[in-house]
Amino acid sequence: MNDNRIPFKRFHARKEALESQYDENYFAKQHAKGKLTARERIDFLMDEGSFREVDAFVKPLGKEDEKKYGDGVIVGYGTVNGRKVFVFAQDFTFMGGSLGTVHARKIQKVQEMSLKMGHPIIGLIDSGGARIQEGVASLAGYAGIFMQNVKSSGVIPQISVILGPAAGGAVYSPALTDFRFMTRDTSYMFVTGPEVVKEVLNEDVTFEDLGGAEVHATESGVADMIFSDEEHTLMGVKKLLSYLPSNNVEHPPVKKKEDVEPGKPEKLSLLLPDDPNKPYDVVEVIQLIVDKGSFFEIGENHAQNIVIGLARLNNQVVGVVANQPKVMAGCLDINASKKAARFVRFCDSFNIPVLVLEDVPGFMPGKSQEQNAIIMHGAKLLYAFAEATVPKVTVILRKAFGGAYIVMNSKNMGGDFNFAWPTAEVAVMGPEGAVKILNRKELLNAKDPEELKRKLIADYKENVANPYVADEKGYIDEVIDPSETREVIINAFALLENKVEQNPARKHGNIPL
Amino acid sequence: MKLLRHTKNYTLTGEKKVSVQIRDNEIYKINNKKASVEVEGINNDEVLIKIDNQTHIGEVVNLKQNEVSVMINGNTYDFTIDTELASKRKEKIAKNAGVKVSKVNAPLPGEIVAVLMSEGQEVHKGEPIMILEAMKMQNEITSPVNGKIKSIHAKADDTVMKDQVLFEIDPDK
Repeated sequence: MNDNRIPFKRFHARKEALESQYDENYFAKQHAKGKLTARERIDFLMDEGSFREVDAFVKPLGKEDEKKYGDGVIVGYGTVNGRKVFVFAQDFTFMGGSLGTVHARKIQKVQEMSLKMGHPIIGLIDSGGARIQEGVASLAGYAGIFMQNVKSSGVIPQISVILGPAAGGAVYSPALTDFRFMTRDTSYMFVTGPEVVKEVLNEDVTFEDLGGAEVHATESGVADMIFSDEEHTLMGVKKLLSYLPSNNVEHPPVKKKEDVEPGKPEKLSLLLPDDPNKPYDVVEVIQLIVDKGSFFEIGENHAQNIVIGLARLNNQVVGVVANQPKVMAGCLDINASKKAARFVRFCDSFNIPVLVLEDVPGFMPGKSQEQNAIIMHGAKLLYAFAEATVPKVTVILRKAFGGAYIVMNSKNMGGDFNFAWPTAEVAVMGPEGAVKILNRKELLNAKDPEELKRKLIADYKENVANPYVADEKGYIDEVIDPSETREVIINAFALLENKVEQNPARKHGNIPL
Repeated sequence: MKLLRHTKNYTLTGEKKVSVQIRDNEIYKINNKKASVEVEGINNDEVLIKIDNQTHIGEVVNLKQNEVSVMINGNTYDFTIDTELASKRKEKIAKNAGVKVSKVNAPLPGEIVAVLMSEGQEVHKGEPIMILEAMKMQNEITSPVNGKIKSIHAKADDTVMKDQVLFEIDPDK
């Protein structure tokens, strides 16, 4: 209803002018590339009618005669499944979504607001990079955004959704945020594009190989989640949000649902193969333990030897870290350590308890691992678990050997509860390796070394590599039946509800980066 | 901000391709024919579906991103849901890419303890082709795609290095 009094006339005229900016031509440009427009993305992400735009009428610096409003970015706030969030969406149709001074100022404004008010911020990124016409001012704009990213880190969840190109300086804002989502075939992230690579290194490389969603989801691990189209990407963001608290003083949302259907914990005993050297899929174990259908895996295509994700246990959110015996025997290598360490620190920042499911034969040996500093990267995971003050519960499913046992939230590294299945083997090393070292001489002189070895391995398993030695010494709190795992850990987390632990005050620790 | 698009087009790709038009969160047309569909949840994953007065009971067996498996009357149907745009884009890419031979490399150094299949055999995605013992674990090396084994480059008792090519698969079109 239009009010005809003079102040309202101008008010409505402005609204109409803004609306007319989004004509058919506006949609056609993006649709032709198989992409949605910034407006459609916001529309899809937010609850219907909840979005309020701020700074809609700004114009690019020094271009007061510019006809279009907004300077290539839509910023504002609204709700996602009822949760308050701030959002900014870059608009590729306006100067290639390039980041100028005013554009950057708008993003910083919502960043500041989200930090002050303690709500998550979601960035929908689709930008050609710094606006060359505005020179150093646009670089300063990036710097301002990065500063806000760092200030907000660990205070509010920050999620970046890459839905187009993100090149040069533009990649570092997503890198500083908690999660990066990408869409297959239409989103790219790289520090320098293929043309520069060709010029400087004389190397031919495609957009896809340099910084496509697939590469970042598998090789680099930059992308935490990838999806086949923008709608699914945004649905993924919504799902992730449903597990996260709004800030670091809140607790994660508890789903209001009276009956939780458990996964089928009674099946757990049957899942592990009889032969301890046979792999199985730990994701199935997770799914049987947590509330049915609640496991949301993160980074599933990168460093697949470790599985991380969010889930619900009796409606309470937990972060899950699990070794994956199916891939590379579930050993810890550089990428797995980095992936898990970052996730544990994320959970600790946002009061999300951590559940560890352990089946780890050790750290990955070899020249390439050592030369690339597995020592420092492995220490990240150690640091992350030791530093985390949220409730931490470990269940040893099978192997727990050597340094990797210590790292995976062992009792003496601050694990609040450490349980083990009867199939667990807790030892400095696996039976084969241990026997070779301990009984080197006997094996050399034996008439039938194979027979002796088999006997020694059996003895070692009986006397050393089982959960009972650790249990009797108190390194494991209780050996439990696999079928009671769910019940036992729900109870453990309930006991830990009031856990208060604090690290000594300091400027910040010095994590081995 | 007013809603921009009330109607959304999706393509379901399983054994057949089906286009579904959704208007205001309800299925409105199937393959461009008007359809009346009612979906009613029974409990968690079980649903009662009424399509043009025919009733089916189905269970969502698996839902991962846009890949869905549904069981109806004892048969399992796998399909992916894409927006029309994404589906067209995928087709375009598939055409341009042609059929690529899929090479599988050793994920870590170790010893091949068994080769379970031979050249020329049909394989399904996820089916084990050989077993690589590494880190004292019998790692199954599986086919990444549906297709036919083009060549196998390792035999039992071979020691292989990381990233060494183990076998090649000709993917199904």
